[in-house]
Formats: sequence, structure tokens, C-alpha cells
Amino acid sequence: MTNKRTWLVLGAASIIGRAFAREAAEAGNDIILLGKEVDDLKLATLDLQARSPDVAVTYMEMDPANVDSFGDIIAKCEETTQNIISVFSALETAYTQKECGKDLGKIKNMFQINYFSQVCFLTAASALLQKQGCGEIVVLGSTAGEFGMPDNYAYGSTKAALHVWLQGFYEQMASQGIYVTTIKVDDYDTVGGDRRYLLYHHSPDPKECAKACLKYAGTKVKVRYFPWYGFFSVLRRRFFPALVRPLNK
Amino acid sequence: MHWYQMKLLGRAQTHSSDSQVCRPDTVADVSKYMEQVGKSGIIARGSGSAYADQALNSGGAVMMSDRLDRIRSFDEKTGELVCEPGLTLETITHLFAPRGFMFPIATGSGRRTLGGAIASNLFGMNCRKKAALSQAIKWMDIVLADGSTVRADKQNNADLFSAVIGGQGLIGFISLISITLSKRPDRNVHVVRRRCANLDALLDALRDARKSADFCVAWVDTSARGAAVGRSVLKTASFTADPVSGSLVSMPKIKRGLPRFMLNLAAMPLIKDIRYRLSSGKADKIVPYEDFIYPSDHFGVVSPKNVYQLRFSFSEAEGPQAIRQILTELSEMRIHACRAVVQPTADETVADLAFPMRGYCLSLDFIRRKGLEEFLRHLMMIACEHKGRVALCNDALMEMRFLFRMYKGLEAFTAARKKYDPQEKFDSDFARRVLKEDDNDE
Repeated sequence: MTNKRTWLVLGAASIIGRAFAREAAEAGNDIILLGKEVDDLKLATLDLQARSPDVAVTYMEMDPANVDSFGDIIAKCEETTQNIISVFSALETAYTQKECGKDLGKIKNMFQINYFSQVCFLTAASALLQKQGCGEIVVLGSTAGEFGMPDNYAYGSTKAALHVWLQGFYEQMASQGIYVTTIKVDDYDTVGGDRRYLLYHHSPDPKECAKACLKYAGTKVKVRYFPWYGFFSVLRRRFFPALVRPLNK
Repeated sequence: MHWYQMKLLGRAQTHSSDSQVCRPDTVADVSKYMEQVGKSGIIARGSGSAYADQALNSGGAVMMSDRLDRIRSFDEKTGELVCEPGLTLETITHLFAPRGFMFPIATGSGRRTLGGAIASNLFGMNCRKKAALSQAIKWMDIVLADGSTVRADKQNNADLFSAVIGGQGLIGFISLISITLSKRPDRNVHVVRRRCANLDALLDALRDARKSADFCVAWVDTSARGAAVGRSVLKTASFTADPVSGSLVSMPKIKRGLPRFMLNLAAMPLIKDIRYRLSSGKADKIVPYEDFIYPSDHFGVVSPKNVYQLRFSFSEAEGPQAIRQILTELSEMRIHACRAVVQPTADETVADLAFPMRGYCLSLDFIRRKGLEEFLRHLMMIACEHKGRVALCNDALMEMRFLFRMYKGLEAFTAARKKYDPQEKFDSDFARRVLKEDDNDE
């Protein structure tokens, strides 16, 4: 096994998944893209190969709903690479509260993908990482999981469940030298569109977010907010909810 | 597939619109979104670099292309890059400059998307003859109003190809582009900066630079009067194999412009005078190519907020006279442009609404204030008299009477629009302001 990293990127077709894969490849890491839509994965692979011709990029089809297949997928990944495997997960699906109100099945779907599938994949991957004795896990969280907002509290609740699970998972893995970092992204336009708040006016840049994820991957930290002032945004929402009003609506 | 209700702004924040906004993740999604567009039309929006209302559509739909930024292939031998329209110019430079390639034109800002650069017929600081963007484009896939995708190049669907370049997104959505990146002769550029005491000296220097330099741009002091009209600081650059070195003191790399109060009428001439005097008589340095290009992205005396930008293009024959007249009127009227730049331009022959012609480009930024519009229309009239053009990509004041006189290819553009988008599904505030002026009058 070499000291080089191979990042397994879940949700590789998503904007942050793509951005992370680009940043990781540019930093010289090999990439294995995992996702459901093969056409998207093929395009993402071509993109990465054109951007970083010196790294190995492959893709594997993975249906997030088919949790029984995760063990086989991770075994295949292990066969594919001689490097240390690390995991980045941007796996998520998101619906607005309005959509969830019309169809409660969407909430079930969000819990399936945002919570259950991720938990199953990370559990399956943890065995491999424990065998390696090193590696990083970076999971994309959300400040929506910290405080219920009228337009996305169903989505936020799935993230809240994931955050709690990740807290425990961090403790379990850290004792074996593997660090699980949760990046809580603030106001990214997953659900609810581009909200604008009083103190700042820009949605986080996916590229900057991906850079932050890669930076924090090796720092052994449990939780980081992106942007860094996202923490204050959560405090503001919690203690001064009246200050939080969309300027754009 | 989500549509968001959003308020969008032009870069100068002089225009805004409330629109339904979509962000396709893949090229395949573009056609699906197109099917959902209603009568109020749709316009593509890249990085939102257009100063005014070119990428706004009040009450209609706007399609953001920023997520369509995948590269499909790159040929290391020929430099052919096939990519989606949301790829920014700075990303292209960042990825391919280390491999010995460069984007065919060196623009002031690298934040523009490739699709936006094509739709606005962008030009750069290049002095060479073959420096027009259209020369480098091999083909484009364009999603038309009916959702179908058509490939256009200089031979096949040539009318569509010509109309889309510089067409402000009013013909179709550019979904895939094949562009040939230029081979970069050397890794570094030799930058020479020198003062020109007046317009005659500047024009002489520009003529010389066109023959000898690869890039050229001059900052002009619009507050200078009398014999000093047109005094300027000229920056030329040429590729060199020499290592990085330099005696030239660079301007600090700052991202925010000066505060507004420093740009008022009284302070502006003083700032310009200081800037001119601080520039040494002649200085040079050798810098990496990546550090030389995109100067607007890391140095801005004036933020584009609340600014009108007028870009004039003149032929080599008419240019000197026209530029002199405009600069003289500015100094006599004591209307100071917060940013004024002169640069040589290469001829653009393919686009129907081609802005650059072989000659000179004068770019002026004015802080918006009461009564300014009338004066700027007067400047546009001067441009018309000198057979010049005003760039549509950042324009906020264009009128049909000017458009007819400035753009000879307008008829071909209108015919292409009727052919490929008869119901005018691709529509924008800019199109309603400029192209439908007669309808509005009725």
C-alpha cells in the first residue's frame, strides 16, 4: 500500500461532490466516483481526466437505496486501488417543505438517502478503514440540521439525525486513528433556493467549500462550519430568530 | 428540477429583475427546462458579469449556466478543448497555462464564463491580428427554443454560428463548445510600463505596440486638459523566455474599490493626477503569464457598482480623431470617467453583431449621476459619426437609432433570430429595451 490517497466520492454528480473530486484530484489524489447516474459519472470522469491527467479516475455505479450492495462496492474499490482509501460523502437529496407537505413519501426518501444510506455506507467503509489503520472520512452536513427553518425543517431533521450519528461515529473511529469530520454548510442552495440574510449576501461557493473539506480532512477536527461564520449564523437563528428574514422574498 | 424566485442584478447594479431562475446540472437538463418556459421567455446567465440588463429577464425565466462547467476532452497536441459553457476563463487559464496553452484572448477579467464570453463577443488586450474569439471556436452545440440541439460551425448552420457569437444569448443556449486554445510561446511575459504625455504620443506608442508587443493596454487620465488631453500610462507585454525579475513597482492587489467619497468630482482629477505622476517614466519587469492577465480581478480603483460602462470601437482611420473628440469633450465638460482605457483591437469578421474592428477600443466607466445619460448619448452620437460602435455587452443606454448605424449585421442577426426562434422564447430586458424599441413606442 502506498501513502497516496484514493478518495471515494459519494454523490459525485452533485455540485459539491464534483468540486471536491476536482480539488482532491488537483492535489494529486486518485478518485473513485460513486453514484447512481452512470451518464453523469462518465461525464464527471472525463472532466477530471482532462483537468488532472496524472491521477487515476474511475467510477462505479452505486444505488444509494440498495444498501446491501455497499459491501461489494467497497470490496471492489479496495481491489481497484493500492492507495489508502478515504471517503467523502456529499450524498443527499433535498425537497422543500412545500413539496414534503404535498407528499410525505419525500420525507421518507430524504431519510433513506440522507441518513440511512450514508450510515450504512460509512459503517461498511469503516471496516476497510480500520483494516488500513488510517484514512479520513469527510461528511457534508448542514446548518439546517441545527435549527428548524420554516422552509426546510424536514430536510433539516434528516441532517440533524446524521449529525448525531456522526458524533458517536467520530468517537468510535478516533480511538483507532481514523477521523470523521462533519462539514456543516450554511445556506447552500439545496432547499429553499438562494436565501439572503442580513449579514451576508452570497451563497457559499462550491469550490471554496470543497477546498475547505479537503483542508479539514487531515486536521482531526470533529465539526467545522462552512463558511466559518456559519456558526454565528446558527447562534443568531437560535437566539435572535427575528433577525433572520429572507431579503429576497 | 427546481425553479427559484429570485431578484437578480446586473454587475453595475443599475438594473434588476425578479425572475424564475433555474440551474441545470447537466446539458440534458437544459432541454427539459426549456420545455417548461412560458411566454415571458428565458435568457441564459453565466457569471453575471454583464453590467446592465443583458442577462436579466423581468417576469420571465433565467437559466444559470454556472453548474455546466465540465470539460469533455482536451487534445494536448492541437489544443482543442471541448467543454460546457459555464467554465470560466480563469479556470481555463489555471488548468491549461501550466501545460503550455492559453485562452486565445487575454481579457481584463477571468471570472466570465466561456458561454458568456461568446454571447458577448468578448475581446482582449491582444495586439495580434488573429486575436478574435470567433477565430478560435471550432463548433458550438446550441439548444434552440424548441428544445432541439443543433451543432453550428463556420460551414454548417453558419448563420446560426454568426448570430450566436455576440448575440447576447437571444438565439439559443450554448450547451457545448469546441475551442482551440493557443500555444503559449513562453512561460513569462516582459511587461513594460511607460507614460505618454498626450494622445499623439499614446497613439504613436499604440501603433508601435501593435507591431512589436503581444498585449497592450493604456490607462488614460480623462481629467487632463489642453495639450495634455489623452495623457496616459501605457502597458505593453510580450512573451519572453527570460526568468521572472522586475524593477516595476506593482499596484497593490486589492479586491475592493476605493470608497465612494473618494470618487466624487473634486477628488477624481486629484487621484488621476497622483496616479499618473506616481507612474515612473519607464519601467519594466518579467512576470509569469498567469500573473499578468485578468488585472481587473485583483485591482479595482472603482467597484463596478452603480457605474455606466461605455466601450467604443473605432477603425484605425477614424479612431484617433474620434478618441480625441471624446476625450476633449470629457475634459471640457469636466465629466470625469472613473476608469478610462484605450487598447488596440483585432478585427472580428464572423459575428453578426461584431463589436471589435481593427483599430482602437476606448472604454469609459462613469459613476451614475443625474443628467449623465444625456451626455453619454451624445458620446454615442459622436461614435456614430465616426463609424464606430458601442459594445452591447455592458451597454445600458443603447437605442435602436444607434444600433442600426453601428451594426451592419443587425439585419442578418434579426433574420437568424426569426428563423431559429420565431416566437422569441429567448428574451431579455436588454432585447426588450433595444430590439423592441419600435413596439414600445407604439
